[in-house]
Amino acid sequence: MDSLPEDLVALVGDPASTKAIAAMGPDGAPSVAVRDTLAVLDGGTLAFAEELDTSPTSRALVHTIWFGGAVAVSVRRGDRAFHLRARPWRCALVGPLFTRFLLEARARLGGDADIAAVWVLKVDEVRDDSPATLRALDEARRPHAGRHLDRASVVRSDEVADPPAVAQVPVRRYLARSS
Amino acid sequence: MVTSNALGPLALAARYPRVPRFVLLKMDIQRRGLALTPAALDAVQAPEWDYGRSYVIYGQGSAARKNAPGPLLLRDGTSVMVLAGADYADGYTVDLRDGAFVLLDGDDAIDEVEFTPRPDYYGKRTSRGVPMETVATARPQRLDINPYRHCHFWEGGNQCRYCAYFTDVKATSALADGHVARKVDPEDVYETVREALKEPGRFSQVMLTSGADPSGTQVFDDEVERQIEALQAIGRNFRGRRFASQLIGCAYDKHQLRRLHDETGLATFCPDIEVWDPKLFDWICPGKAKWPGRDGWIQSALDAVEVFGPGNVYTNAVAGVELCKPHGFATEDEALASHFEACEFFAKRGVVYLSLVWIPWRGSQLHGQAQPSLEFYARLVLGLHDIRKAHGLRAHNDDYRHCGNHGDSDLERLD
Ligand code: SF4
Repeated sequence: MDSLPEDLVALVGDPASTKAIAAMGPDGAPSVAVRDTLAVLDGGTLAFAEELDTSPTSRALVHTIWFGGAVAVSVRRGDRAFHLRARPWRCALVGPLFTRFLLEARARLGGDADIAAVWVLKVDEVRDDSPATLRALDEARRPHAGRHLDRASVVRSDEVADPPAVAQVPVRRYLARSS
Repeated sequence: MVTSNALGPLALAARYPRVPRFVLLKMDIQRRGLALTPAALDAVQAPEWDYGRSYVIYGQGSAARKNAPGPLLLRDGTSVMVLAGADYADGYTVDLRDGAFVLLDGDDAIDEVEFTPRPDYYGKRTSRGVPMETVATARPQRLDINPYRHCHFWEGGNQCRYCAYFTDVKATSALADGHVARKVDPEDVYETVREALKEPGRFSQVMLTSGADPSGTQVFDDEVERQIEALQAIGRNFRGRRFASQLIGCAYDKHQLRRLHDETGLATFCPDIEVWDPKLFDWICPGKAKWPGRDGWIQSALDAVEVFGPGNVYTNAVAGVELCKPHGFATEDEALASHFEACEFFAKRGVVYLSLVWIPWRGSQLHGQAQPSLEFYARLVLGLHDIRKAHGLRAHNDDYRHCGNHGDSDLERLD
């Protein structure tokens, strides 16, 4: 992608948003990790710092850049969320991008903080992952099929005289039975 | 140089699915060499890339007219130790296209690449006026220091037959305004390292290597004395006792190894065996065969395990040279079997055996000889990696980050 939507750029830049990277490791197992350092570079690229070469995420990124495939990025704050499909494009151990992320880590965490590399991701696809957007899409695609009938009932289940409380639902017994 | 390009990186990546295209590409660039187009060469004269006139000390540079860039960087973060501009007949090319460096194989654009940015200490001088880039050169994450730039094996023609080390010292010294002295002043080493460490996150290791010098009361005593002097000078820059470091040295005896360990902060030691087969070792490395002989080089590595600990001792093989004519192995299979035997032998004893791609440098006795196929190197790195892994050994101090010269340790990034 040549550029990213402005609201995505703003959400990535929001220090309060949660940013997570998911990738497939060399053993075929997925790994997911929150990476607060995720930032938008110019165009359709993102970058974030990896603290260790040996982290599951680092190994999964190396595996992906070597053998192909995509990684997923999730960015969310409150009811705004995006899901991205991206390719690991560069692993920087040296140079201005690396130094910028290192200095930011040290400014945040102290002078002994360290990073191993900065990974650059090229974004191929952006999806609005906000619950309201997904719900609207779902309703449009299969009207009525994705909702429980009590929500459309004349008297909704939360409006009856004595609505069931969360605490009364015997989940523990159910879980115990099913395990 | 003569190379067989029967199968290139892409075809081999399909045939050997555990060897990534990047590792194959790196080894093929090392094998076949690299040239820069005029546009790329002009671009690397910019301050952020320019490694200066004195970077090339290994005898191959064409940097006399223009300055050389630092090591090539592939997108996966690995570096390619190759001298841009050496006399390769069928090498890769780097061009500048739309402001980015692009690697070409003939007319085919292969991938985006970069060069290692120039470190901040380049262009500065020590208090004795010595340009710091002549004291230490920079890989992406490693400082390389040659405290003594002369190999006495060359006297009397005892040099290793593949070696072109220091053959350009005179020319390089002239390029560096006479500042490449045979012996580097330890104070210059101290000051250069101190300056280099001011750049945040730029280096993870210091590597020392020198030409061989068998002189002294015991063989190599004088050389060891110089290494200790340089390591102590470097060590003054660190708070703790040990610092991330590697010494590529000669076949030191136990007493010399103990001194290096006890009197300096050295972390790892690497006496290079170069060629495993006994007859080929004697023929290809006559200096090593004489001082103190193949058994002595092996014993030194094993003694070093006692001193530095298992996994902290390395030895390199110049992979492919064992196939050189007229006495080398006749087939790549025989050569591979020899490497695997060596790797197994050392791995059992806690020594990390690594491969380097043999380049028949101009200035070496083997210049002009044919190199093995890229497939040989694909099979080699896979085999070496698997043997070491089976023995629980990792090349922590000689991996993609610290060295960049070994396809087999690059594979450890997934382990
Ligand atoms: S020991 Fe051999 S490889 Fe090393 S510098 Fe001397 S001749 Fe060259």
